Amino acid sequence: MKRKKFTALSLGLILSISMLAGCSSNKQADTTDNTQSSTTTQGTASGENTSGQDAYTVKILAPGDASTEDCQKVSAAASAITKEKFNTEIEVTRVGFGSYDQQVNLMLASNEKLDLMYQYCGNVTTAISSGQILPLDNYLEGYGKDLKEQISLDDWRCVTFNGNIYGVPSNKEKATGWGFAFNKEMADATGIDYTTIKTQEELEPLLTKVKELYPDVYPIVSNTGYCSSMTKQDDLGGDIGSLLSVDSDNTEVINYYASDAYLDEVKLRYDWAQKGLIMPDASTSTENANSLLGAGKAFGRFSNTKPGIEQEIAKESGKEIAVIELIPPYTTTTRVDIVWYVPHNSKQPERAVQILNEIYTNPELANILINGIEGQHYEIVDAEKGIVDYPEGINGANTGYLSLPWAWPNEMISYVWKGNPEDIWTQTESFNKNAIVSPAKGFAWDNTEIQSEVAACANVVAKYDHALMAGSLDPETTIPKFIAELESAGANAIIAEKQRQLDAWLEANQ
Amino acid sequence: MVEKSKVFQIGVHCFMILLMLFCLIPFLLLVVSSFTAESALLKNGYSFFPSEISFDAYKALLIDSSSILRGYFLSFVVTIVGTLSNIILTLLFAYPLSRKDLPGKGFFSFMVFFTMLFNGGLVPTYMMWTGVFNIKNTLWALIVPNLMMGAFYVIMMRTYFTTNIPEAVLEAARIDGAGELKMLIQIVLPMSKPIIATIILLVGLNYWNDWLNGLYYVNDDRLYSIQVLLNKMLMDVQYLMTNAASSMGQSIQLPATGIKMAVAVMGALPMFIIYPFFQKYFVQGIVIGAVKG
Amino acid sequence: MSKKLKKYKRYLPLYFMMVPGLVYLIINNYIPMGGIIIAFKKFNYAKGILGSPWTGMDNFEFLFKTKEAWTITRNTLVYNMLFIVIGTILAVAVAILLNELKSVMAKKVYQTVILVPFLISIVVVSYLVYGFLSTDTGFINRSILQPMGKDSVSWYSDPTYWPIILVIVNVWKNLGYNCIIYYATVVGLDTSLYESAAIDGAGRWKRIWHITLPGLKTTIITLVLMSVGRVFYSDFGLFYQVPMNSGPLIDVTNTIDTYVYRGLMELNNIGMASAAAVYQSLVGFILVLSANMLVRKIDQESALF
Repeated sequence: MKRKKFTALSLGLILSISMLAGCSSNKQADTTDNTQSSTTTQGTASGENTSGQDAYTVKILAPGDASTEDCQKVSAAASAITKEKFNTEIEVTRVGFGSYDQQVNLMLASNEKLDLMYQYCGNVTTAISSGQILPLDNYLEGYGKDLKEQISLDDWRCVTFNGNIYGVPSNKEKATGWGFAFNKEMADATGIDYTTIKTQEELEPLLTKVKELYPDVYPIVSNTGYCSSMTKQDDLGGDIGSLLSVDSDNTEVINYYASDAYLDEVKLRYDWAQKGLIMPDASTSTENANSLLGAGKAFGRFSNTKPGIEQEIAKESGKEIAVIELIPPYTTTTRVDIVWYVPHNSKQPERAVQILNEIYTNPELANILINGIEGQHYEIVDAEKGIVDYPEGINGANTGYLSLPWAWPNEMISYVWKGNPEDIWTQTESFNKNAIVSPAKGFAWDNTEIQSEVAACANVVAKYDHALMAGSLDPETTIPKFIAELESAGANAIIAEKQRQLDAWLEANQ
Repeated sequence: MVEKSKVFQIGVHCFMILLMLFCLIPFLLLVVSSFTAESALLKNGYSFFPSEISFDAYKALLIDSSSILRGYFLSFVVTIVGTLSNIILTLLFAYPLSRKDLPGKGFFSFMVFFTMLFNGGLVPTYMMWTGVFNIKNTLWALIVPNLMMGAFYVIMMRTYFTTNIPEAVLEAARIDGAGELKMLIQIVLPMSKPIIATIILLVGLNYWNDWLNGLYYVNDDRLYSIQVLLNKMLMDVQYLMTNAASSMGQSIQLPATGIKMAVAVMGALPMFIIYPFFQKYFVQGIVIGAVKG
Repeated sequence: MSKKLKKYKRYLPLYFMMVPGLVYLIINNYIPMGGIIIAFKKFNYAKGILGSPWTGMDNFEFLFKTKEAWTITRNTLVYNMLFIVIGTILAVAVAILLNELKSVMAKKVYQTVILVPFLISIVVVSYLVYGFLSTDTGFINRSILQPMGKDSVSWYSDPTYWPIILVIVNVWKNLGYNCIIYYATVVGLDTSLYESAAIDGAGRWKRIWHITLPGLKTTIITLVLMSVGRVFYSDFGLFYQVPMNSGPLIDVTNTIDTYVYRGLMELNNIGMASAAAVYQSLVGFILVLSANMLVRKIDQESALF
């Protein structure tokens, strides 16, 4: 009896150890392979005669739903280009947003083959410190020359940690402004000249008048529970600790929630909520702001601004929309938000970078990967201007290959979808160029050493921020509690650590 | 005495009807709102008598009816195969555990129960099933992980056996020379119909409702069961709604609330159709069990 | 010696029956359980589970370093205890009443209907609750309070109602599921006992008290013990999605699971996530071991193991 217990237990133990060891030893073998092959290939093929390389398949993981069959078609079409040029095939897998994070995590943990992937920036320090993604410096020289040249030094810094580049920032709008988007027809009916409005406070007469004229309409609604903050802060890559304003040279890291700017804004929102200018319970509404605009229940919403924003909201709501810019566009590290990575599972990272370089620069290849197969997933409406639309009978809900240009490395060399401004890419370019640059742009925050505090603070922020921004809580009583709880959760330790890293970074990048 | 009994029956009916309404009314609101036009919902609120009826939500879901049909079919296959294997494994495991005299019974019971408390998390389980057994993107992925035998059902069944099957009956059979398997099939099974029917029902529901296995182990759209399909749509709608700040290229106007409700209706519908049929056997099983007992 | 061997030989078929189940448990549960060590490691994907460096108890720190530690533990425990007590009493009562009913048709209908809520996923339940409680469009404010001339209630900003709302939602969703297990046991009870009791002239309540309830005892104890083992876990959907992640409600809706989720959503740290799970399991394990010991002292038959 006793012996049986022991044997059963030890059997389980042996099995489990051998399995775990098996996995990890495989991985070690892989990584040594990687370094060997990369050093050898780097010597011979420095970007010249690439069609003579060994055959290799680059597996790409991108977000958005697509049928397996259509992904295979797209892969085949893309491979036709890369096979000839690099003797490389492309295999595209797409995973819906709802399961993307889960599946990526599992794929990376289980060492499945994967060469290129899209991921949000929010997880990048964890991704690096837990070895999910590879440093790219060595490969960029030989295989990603165009990337190296075309992406600005500032943007490269945003993805540089401990001196190594870990990702390739996508080419898209990399700045944001903030403003108020509203139903133009209602605004015109008030007779108020809204074009002169420059600050949030100045919105009040307009909102009051709208409420007077349309008592059933909420002047301001939240978007799925959030009213965006009209802020100029640089949150320095997330968590607690921000620069108060991007347009000053002050690089002191502060607790933004304890700042006057935050207090003033939530006071105003609370005042508005009391006056009935914000929808009740805005912070828990599950309604999409654009649907509310569309249903005629809402006059306006706070929104980010960028080229084409009016059209975008107009399209979703079906109303004519005007946007007042309250905070001019600015750019920070956080705004470089779509980054492509080479995961640790890649057998030949240099080949992955080579293909990434091609996707970034070759419009033909980029269009196949972004938009799919011509005639099946899209058709060209205006060849000269490069405008495309869905073929007859196809729409966003039933296409077999959903087009999400912003999720790919370079949307700005792809076709423009009908309904957007025709010159959207040039507009975006100048938008990026004219944006105010934060003095800390390029600083990449590393929170690995302080994660307990980060987790605790995230809980405190979840408790107060949305409700305050929606005007549901009285700032007089709430803010002191909020700050006290943040501090007891370790906010000051995070801020001090951030300041230390920022100072070191400023020193190094003067 | 007779009068008293009648009063009691009526009382119980009243209570059960109240309970039934408590369970049913929210569901009714769900069904009605899946047929309510989005604009009417936002304007006039949730109501049992919508001002405007619309089938948009169902139209949006049924846009690709072939994959919905395939999803239903896959769900049926998975539910049937999964439930059968589960019930066999559970029976074979629970029966020996119910035998008071089995040496090591305590240890094995503990071993089962322990799995309810501790697990290694998703990552190691995933590595096991995909790395060693290669079930990723196969039909097995929807059947095998986590659902094929559960500690809860083993323990429930064992408890039922120990309470409802008198040892004397088994002893008598053994004296007659019956083997263990024969005893299980010929004596224990007929006497356990209520619990078997219950567990089949509960396990079947688990299989039918499961979409997590699909979420983790499948990204081939040809292998989406109906719940995986519906939940994917739900999550994608949610995602697109909350992250509209990123430029979405071409956005789609969706009746968001209606879709959420319609998803629930479509996911649960087949169970409502099947359950009454199944229940016939369920009640029958009980009757036979009672007679034999 | 040979006698002992003979005895084992008698049990051999029983052991064989357990082999498939055992194999499944080992593959699906026990080998992956090795992954628990992730909780004590700074997990590195490239190095694998064994290759990652040890960090001692670092991953557990975030669970205790916060002032919320007390709140989340209290919430998790109190809600679970409420759910266990209320859920069990109601389920047993309904099962017994169902069994007392004479009409077979009515039995069927009631049984089907109370299982309906269980068929709906918790995410959808949260939209449904929203349909009732939304300040602006909700059924309660729009169609009940307003016609009565009363003020609308901001359900999602007022924590006072939520302990009750959560209990109601939980009962609503799980009653049918719990009930059906008890019902099966009641139905399977030896009816000859009932018949002789009826002949003896025992009243209905006496019969329920002296025959039905004792017959259910083991099942009740088993189910309760199993719930005790998970007393540090909470239904994430119920506490996160049903209150719509509303800030003002967090004091009464934050549980260990929601705390971990909110804290790690951005961090995506597997080590910390498994540390939380180990902590939850360990407490449940200790509680259930003690409870089981107690049960075994009182009634050997009903103990889990």
